[in-house]
Amino acid sequence: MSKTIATHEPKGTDIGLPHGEPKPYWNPYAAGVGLGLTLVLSFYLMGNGLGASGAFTRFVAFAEAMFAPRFVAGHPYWKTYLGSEPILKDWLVFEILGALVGGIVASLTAGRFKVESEHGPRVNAKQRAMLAFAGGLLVGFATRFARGCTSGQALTGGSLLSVGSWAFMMSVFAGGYAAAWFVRRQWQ
Amino acid sequence: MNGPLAANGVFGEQFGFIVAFFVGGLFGFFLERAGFGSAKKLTADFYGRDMAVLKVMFTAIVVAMVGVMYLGIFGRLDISLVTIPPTFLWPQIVGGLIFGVGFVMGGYCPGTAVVAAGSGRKDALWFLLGILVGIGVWAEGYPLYKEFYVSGSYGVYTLSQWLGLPSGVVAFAVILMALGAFWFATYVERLMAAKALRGKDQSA
Amino acid sequence: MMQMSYQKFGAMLLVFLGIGLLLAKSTPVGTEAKGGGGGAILQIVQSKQDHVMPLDLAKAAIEGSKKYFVVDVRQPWEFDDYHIPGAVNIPLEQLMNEKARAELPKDKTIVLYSAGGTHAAQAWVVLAQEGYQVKSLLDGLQGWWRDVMTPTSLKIGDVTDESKDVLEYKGAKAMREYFQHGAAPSGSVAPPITTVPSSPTLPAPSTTSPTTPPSAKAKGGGC
Repeated sequence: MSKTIATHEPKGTDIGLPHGEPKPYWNPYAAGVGLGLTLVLSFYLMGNGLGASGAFTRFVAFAEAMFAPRFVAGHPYWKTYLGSEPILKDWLVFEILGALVGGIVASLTAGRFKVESEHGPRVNAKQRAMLAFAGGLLVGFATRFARGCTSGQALTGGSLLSVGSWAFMMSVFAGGYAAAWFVRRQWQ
Repeated sequence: MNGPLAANGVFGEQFGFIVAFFVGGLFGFFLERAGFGSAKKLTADFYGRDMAVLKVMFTAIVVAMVGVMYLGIFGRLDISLVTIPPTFLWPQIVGGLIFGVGFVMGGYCPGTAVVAAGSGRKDALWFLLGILVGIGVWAEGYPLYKEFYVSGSYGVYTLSQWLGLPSGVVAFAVILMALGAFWFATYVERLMAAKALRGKDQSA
Repeated sequence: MMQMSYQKFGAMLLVFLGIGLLLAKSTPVGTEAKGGGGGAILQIVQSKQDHVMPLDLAKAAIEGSKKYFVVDVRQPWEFDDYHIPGAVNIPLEQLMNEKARAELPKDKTIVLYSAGGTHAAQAWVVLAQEGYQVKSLLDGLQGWWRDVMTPTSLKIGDVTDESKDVLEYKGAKAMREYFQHGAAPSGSVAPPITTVPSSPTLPAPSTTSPTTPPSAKAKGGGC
């Protein structure tokens, strides 16, 4: 319980901190406004919201099509990704690459870039890696049922008032809170 | 110029990808600044210690909703050309529940894992690998749940259609709900902080 | 505290903006249930809003516009033979099945076409009643071949009055060339289509034309 309310009332703007120490996170509402405006920009420019899992699905489709083109062509799900356009030629793919660069720039400029594995003191890095992989597996699996993730459904669909996106968002919180108790040792 | 610019032919496909990269960059930047490159920070939401996830998400949703609606009202954005995710209620609910479990277990969601990987987090790489494998596994099982995948289909179905209310009324309700959620989240944070303090006293 | 007052200000601003939306006359995000009963459909038909001219469809495809979702209601083998680039094949009897219809986008204009126009018109009525934004391609594939794919010199005087006006405008030739460009994909020569009576003299169309058709990406959107 070290990080109780570290960020809920931030200390203000990023000035006067000694070099090398990470700057504090933004006020969550300020970051939220930034994200919201990014989303509006995305709607205005592209007519699409933000997304992440769609790009990963294309990565998987691309990889499978490269190693097993005939398998993919006959696959009931993957064949729909084959068209006259290359699989990776999609706006989500470029968007997620941008997000990676944005994350690198932001973490470097805030002094937060650090190669490490994050977990509580009661688990080791190996256990953490396994839990991260298992969690990713479930998340990846779930995104295909939901046709999106927290970006494509909760944020994008939520702001466009899609019923399914709101149902998804509520379910994510429900699932998260229900499972939190079982993995609490990982974080505390 | 009226949006969406891409659909209205203001710029072509090539430039669209540059735009996508740029928009994605902003997305990643703000996610990192919110602290979402950290699994600890993200999962703290599920233990009531730090409700930044809820606050950031609802703020972003409300700001985007208000922004899109005002752009629409002033005729700057043709909302019929904006892709609204269609509703497939049952797979979305089941997907959401599994997603929630994976989220708290893995510590990330797909977008934040990318940002975390960009911040140097090794666990995020494992999470990303898990996502790719999970998608592949799902696709292999696709024939099994082909029917379920399209169940509860309502097409593009908005809250205002569901409730039979003008979207302005729904938007107002969403704003009030978000403000209520912010208040509640702060309340929970204080409660948990107080509880943690008491716990320390007892153990000392 | 400074920060708190920012937050309070933001909250109040949101409430005011929300009240603005509450009072706004036009509420844009998917409010009114589209479509409606028979009366509404009759109105659409009378106002000629029920169909798309082949040249308009071609223009939209070339511009990469995403506003149309083109559905070919013929049988799969006919579709394999030739189809309008970017079209999705949903045979008529499958369209009559409610589950198949669920995958259709409700936010785009669906353009139906068949060989002539009858089958597309049947499907049109069903979809229009369910509130889809739906149009049919005027004269179906025949109209497509006549207006878009046939060189002007080969045109016979059987065009309808309405399409004559559209034919006049510049670019009809360019469009034809666009859709014929890159024909004959590696190794496969598309057989002459059977659905259009006057086709043997025409160049074989490509089944994998390198176009950016309207909404080739019917899926994979969102996140």
